[in-house]
Amino acid sequence: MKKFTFLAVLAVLFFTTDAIFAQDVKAKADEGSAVVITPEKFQDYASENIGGLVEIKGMVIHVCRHGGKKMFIIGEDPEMRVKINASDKVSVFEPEVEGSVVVVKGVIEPIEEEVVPDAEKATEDTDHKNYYHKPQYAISCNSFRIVEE
Amino acid sequence: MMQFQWRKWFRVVHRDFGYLFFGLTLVYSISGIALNHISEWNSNYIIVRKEITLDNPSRIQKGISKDEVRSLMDEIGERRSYKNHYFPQSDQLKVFLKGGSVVINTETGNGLLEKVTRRPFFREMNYLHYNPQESWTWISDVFAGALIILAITGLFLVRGAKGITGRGAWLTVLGIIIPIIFLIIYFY
Repeated sequence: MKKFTFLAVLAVLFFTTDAIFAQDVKAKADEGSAVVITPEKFQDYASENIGGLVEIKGMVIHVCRHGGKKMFIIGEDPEMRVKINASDKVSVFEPEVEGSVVVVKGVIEPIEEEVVPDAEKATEDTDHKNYYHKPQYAISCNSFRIVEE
Repeated sequence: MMQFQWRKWFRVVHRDFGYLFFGLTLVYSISGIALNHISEWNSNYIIVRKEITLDNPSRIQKGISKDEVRSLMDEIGERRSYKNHYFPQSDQLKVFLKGGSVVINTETGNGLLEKVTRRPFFREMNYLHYNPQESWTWISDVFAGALIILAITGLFLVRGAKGITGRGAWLTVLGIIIPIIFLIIYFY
């Protein structure tokens, strides 16, 4: 009986902790007012606002097929794509959202230098200087919602 | 005063934790193997690719309407699954479908249809392995703590020559030496 009680207490602890923290996560994701920005203006804005909260709308053009840990969105200009990273608040993106228009709310973060492909870094000609040869920024996703399927 | 029977309690804890964390051990070990080899085998999704060809590609121009793209998709049996489209490059149309996408070369009409479906069982295991929520981080922390307790209590389950004072000691040392050798070779 004592052993059963011991196991029962552990199980209850699991589920109560789960419920409490699930509420906490939702509350954190909703807090704060975000600056609304377009994908076209994101990189310029991001360079001076790392850590800032932004809201951005765009079409999802790619979701990572391996783990769903990142996705890319675009606005009117397909060249100006914005990388959205999963976080402890939104842990994964499903490939089903590709092609949908979403509104993402999240925090600006720099893209680590080491994740920029070597092939891109090695390219120094003027044709390729526009994209990877300056610091790049992404958004750590706090929440996102689909506005157009 | 009665002596505290620590070995008995180690057995009880080891046994009950073993039962309790059986499920989580399988979740983390199976998904661990799957994620270790994610670049060789996609354990999250089943991706099927098929080459397609559209006749008369000159009709695919920037500014093409959704209805016109739906008609294109009709030719490959995907009209009803159309979602959206855009031009990633001047000679490339990407059409998003429910459950996949198709990329078409607008000069040749050749394209690649990609259908994506979730791989059952592994997808769920991997989802949990990735710490989907803060609350799950707590559960995985508890699990990690339990593994430490299981490891420590496991050392003292057996007495005698096969226990921690005999063969068990050699095996334990071997298990510690393996990661140390790896660190010496690759880390330092």
